[in-house]
Amino acid sequence: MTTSTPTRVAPGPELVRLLAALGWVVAASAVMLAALGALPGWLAGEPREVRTVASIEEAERHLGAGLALPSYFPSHLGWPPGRIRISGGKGGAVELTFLDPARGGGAQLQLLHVTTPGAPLPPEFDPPGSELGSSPATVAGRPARLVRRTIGGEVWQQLSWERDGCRMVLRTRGDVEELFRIARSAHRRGAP
Amino acid sequence: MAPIVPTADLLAQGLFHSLVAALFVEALARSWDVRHPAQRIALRLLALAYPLLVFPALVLLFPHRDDLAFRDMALLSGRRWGDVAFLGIDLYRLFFFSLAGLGLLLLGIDLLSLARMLRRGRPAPSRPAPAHAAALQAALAPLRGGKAPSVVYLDRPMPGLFCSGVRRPSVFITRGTLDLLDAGELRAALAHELAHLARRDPARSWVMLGLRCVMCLNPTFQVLARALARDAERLADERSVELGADRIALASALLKLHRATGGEDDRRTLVFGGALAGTLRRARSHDLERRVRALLAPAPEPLPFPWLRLGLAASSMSGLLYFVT
Repeated sequence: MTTSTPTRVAPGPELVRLLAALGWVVAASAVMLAALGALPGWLAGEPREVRTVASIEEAERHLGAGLALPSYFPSHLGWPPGRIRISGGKGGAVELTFLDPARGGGAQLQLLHVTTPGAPLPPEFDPPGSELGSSPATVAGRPARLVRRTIGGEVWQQLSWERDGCRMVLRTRGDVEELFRIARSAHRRGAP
Repeated sequence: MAPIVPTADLLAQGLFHSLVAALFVEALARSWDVRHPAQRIALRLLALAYPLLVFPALVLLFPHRDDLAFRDMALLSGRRWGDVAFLGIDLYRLFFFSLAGLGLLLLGIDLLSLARMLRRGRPAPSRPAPAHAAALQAALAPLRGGKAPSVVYLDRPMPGLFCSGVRRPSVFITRGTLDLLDAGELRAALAHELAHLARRDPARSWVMLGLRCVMCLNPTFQVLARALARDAERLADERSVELGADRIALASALLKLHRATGGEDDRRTLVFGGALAGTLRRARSHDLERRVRALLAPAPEPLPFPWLRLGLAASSMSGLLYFVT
């Protein structure tokens, strides 16, 4: 730091003081940074693992996998998705939320896709609510399950099945027939 | 969150890293109670070098820091602030544009001031009156040092004493200064300027200005550069004492010169400079007060283990910021 002659002090205690002060500053800085890092999640009400991304392409880049999107899409829903959230990095899950402008722009349809075969739906994408009833179903010949449940005090229809071993979930506040048509048309981007 | 181009993303990360590095170094300087100006300069140079050297090295050597998985385990991922909006604009962008604007403003203020100075040109030297020549000779004679310094006399009534010049650095002194200061104060003030010459501070200040232009969007860099300029003044104060100046006489000379010039300085570099004039004058007075207080106190001792401190500061700062994306 300087070539001047340093003060003559006992080196042991001075070294301890030096290291203690450094440890204190490093620890305080780390805590401050971690708090600042957690603050957006707290403010947005989202856990740390969940991240909002700007586009489907960005979600695919982060997840390292092509997303299964429906080729049938009702005209009353807005495209692109109003909100795209991902959980985890490579092999994680995505949640696409479609809004319905005719109903005040609220969430009308949600498509969830876990990109790792056999992996469960992340809990942060499974909001709390009570199940009102369920029944077995099929989606393009694959076994599926249709659940009538509440989310945030509203009744949703939730259809879950597996595609190439990966878990898929579709939720709607609208028509169940439409939900099945959307589910049957879902395919990976680039695939026929 | 709308996509932000990767370059701007890196720039935003660099701005935040700079800010954290500077705060970290300042916290260390306070915790270690670093009083010696040379040691303060060394620590602040660490923070100054961070955006120029360490941050590019972090980006180039550790590209995986940009992966989502790494960002999830990072202490702080700045892009997460894009999820929070304020008045319709996400806070990540607000932070970036605010800091970049502040950086440009801080540099612009100093560039305007410099442009005014350069427009006036290099002051023309005069031949001092015999009494003034003798006073100058008497003040310079006892100052220990190497070769005889180049001193340029300016026949102006306004007190002024400064050093300038890159290839031929010289000390410029006005008639007003020789009339204002007594022999001891003149010797101390000249010793201060000779200390600047010995460190080649005029050349350093040009290099620093070039780096500031490179880092024009980085307000932390601009503030640190100003802090380093103040440290250079404090260091020249201490070095002048080593050259033979009296501490009290130097403090007295500083106060007299400030009262005669800086205290009523009407330089305006902004359209709204009139509104800021009082604040800037108080800031200058505050800087001077701190220098005078330091001169009235005993000379600060350098702390032991200087290189160890620098090494630990640099490594812990880089280690911490590795986990900030």
